[in-house]
Amino acid sequence: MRALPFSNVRLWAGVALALAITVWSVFYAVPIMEAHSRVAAVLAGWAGLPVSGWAPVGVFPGLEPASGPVLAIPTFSEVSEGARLALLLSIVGLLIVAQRFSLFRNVANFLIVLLVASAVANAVFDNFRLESITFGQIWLRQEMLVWLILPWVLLLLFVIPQPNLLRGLVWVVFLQAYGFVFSAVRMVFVLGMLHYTGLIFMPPLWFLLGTMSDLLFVLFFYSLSIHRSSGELWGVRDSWQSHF
Amino acid sequence: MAVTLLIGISYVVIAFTVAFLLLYAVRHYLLGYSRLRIDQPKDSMELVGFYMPRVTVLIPMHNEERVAADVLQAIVDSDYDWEKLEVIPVNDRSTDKTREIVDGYAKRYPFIQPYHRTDGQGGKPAALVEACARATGDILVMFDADYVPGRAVIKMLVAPFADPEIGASMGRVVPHNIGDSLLSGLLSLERSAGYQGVQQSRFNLGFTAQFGGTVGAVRAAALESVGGWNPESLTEDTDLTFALLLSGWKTAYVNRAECYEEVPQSWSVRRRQLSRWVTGHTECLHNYWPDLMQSRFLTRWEKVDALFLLAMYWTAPVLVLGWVASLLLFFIPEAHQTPWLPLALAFLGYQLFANQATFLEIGVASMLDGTRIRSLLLPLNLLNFFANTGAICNALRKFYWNKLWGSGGDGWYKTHRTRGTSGGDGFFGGSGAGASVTARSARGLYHARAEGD
Repeated sequence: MRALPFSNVRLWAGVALALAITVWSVFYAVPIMEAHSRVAAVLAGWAGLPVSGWAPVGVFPGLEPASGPVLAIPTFSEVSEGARLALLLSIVGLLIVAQRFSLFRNVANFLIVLLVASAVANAVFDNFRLESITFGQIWLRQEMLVWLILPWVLLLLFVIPQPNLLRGLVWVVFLQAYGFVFSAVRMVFVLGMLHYTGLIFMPPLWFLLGTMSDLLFVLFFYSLSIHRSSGELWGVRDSWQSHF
Repeated sequence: MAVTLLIGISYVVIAFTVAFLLLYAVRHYLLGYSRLRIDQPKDSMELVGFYMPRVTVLIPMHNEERVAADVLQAIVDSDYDWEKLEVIPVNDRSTDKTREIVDGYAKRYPFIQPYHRTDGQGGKPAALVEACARATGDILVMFDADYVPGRAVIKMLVAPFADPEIGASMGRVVPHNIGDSLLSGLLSLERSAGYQGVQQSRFNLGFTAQFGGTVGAVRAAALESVGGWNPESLTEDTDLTFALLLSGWKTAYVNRAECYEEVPQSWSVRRRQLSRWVTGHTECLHNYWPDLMQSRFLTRWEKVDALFLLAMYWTAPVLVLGWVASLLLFFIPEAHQTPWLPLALAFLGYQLFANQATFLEIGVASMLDGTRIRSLLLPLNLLNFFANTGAICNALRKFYWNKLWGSGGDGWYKTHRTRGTSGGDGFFGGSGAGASVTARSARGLYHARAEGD
């Protein structure tokens, strides 16, 4: 009978690595967040974003401040006509997606709701604003918590239930590093959108590029690891059905 | 004041969402892991072929001209002793050529005794009630008309009944049209997780497997003892599962009893199928949970498991409530100033991670089945998850609305069949080819699959 009995070596090696990463992340939280800001600053420079500086911002009580971006974010009345047109085009585009692609229908509908709610809130409350520093603070708080949780999720998905211990451990380290860089990329992209379009697109961006992206990238690499392990562990169960 | 209240309510909703979904996530992880690690699952395969009671095979049909010949041919080709076999195709007021196909088989094979319904209440449960009254078997085996059982499936489904405590048994459903559309590929992953993963795991752990009338068997005496099928239920099989459980009967799961089905290829069909399941399942929740909690036949953990099973569709609206609450917090600037907003968002983020648990089950089932290319579709199942969430919420909305206002609610809906629509020759290239395909199936079941699950 096909099974993958747990081995103590796999379990404890995985736990030890996850614990090491978590402890390291806690003790070096400020340098890690600083490194994240530096990577983001480099990416913002490459993207041509006019970030005027990185100011200190308290992320967690009791910790030294990290750096948050200083960048102008316009209110609804200040954004360009192009941004408003982009909002309309986005809604139309999403409506088309919802109509034509059933798989994406619910996501597209949800994004439309977010966009409309955002447009209404921005139009009615023109003083509705978010400083880039605050944005950086919220982003870092969220991602820092993700980095603390991530090794344990990876342990549960990539190490314990998979046959090759060494490869599982490499997956954990790689994905932890990937999550760090990917977070900086997403943060800079959202910053750029905020700078050029104000807060109109913020809710859908937060939904798509926040923790959803963390979930998706883990899922993507998990599927690759399953693909590899399936072929390695056992052959395909014999079946007369055609294989997809 | 109002804003503070709104913020407070939002946090309470998010906390509830996190707690509720976390419980399900833990359950998914436990079931996934236990399935992967147990190499000696509960199994009745050693009894296959040694316990051969009289069996009645019931096949409810309504306008099944595309598929009727395939299922009948597969049963004719099965290795169950014809002397102990009775097959009742239940032709429920078909208006196509189903009647001619069924009668053609009945002329050739005397153990096929069709029952043609021309009036009465519509739907599968009502048809089953009438057909069961004619059945003479000790064990009633049921297949949906679009299912194609392998040669040994009847023997495998019957084997667990050697245990007198077993009231019903359930086989594994395997989609055969997995390459026909993206949706069918995604659903095949879901089915793998559901059967290879969850059903087997729950059975291993001593919980009751969920009986499915699509490829399942029930002891005639057990069915009678619980008052027969519930003709009012949209999911008569789930209803029977819990009726049997409350009467002290167990349901066995037979992973190797594979039956091949056609999963929906379009989202409209899928939505309607899901809507029927949600309605029927939730009705069962309301009907059975008080008795389940007080049952003297069940352990505490069996009760917990049964409750998890019955309430599983509630996860969708709870998740949506959490999203709405976090959206409200997003648009309230006052909430931005409190340190709890990022914490709440992080909790929701954690919930997204917790939702990896369902993907772990898919991954485990994929590894056990040796699925390779299809496992790469796994991330797309997130979209499937969103689509399901919408369909489930809509179905629950209708269900509770109807419950509140007493209107009729969803009726029976027959799942649309697509077999034969592309090639024109049917799935097997016509029923004549069915014998060779089911023979190949049997080879797989007897030999290569012997260590395959």
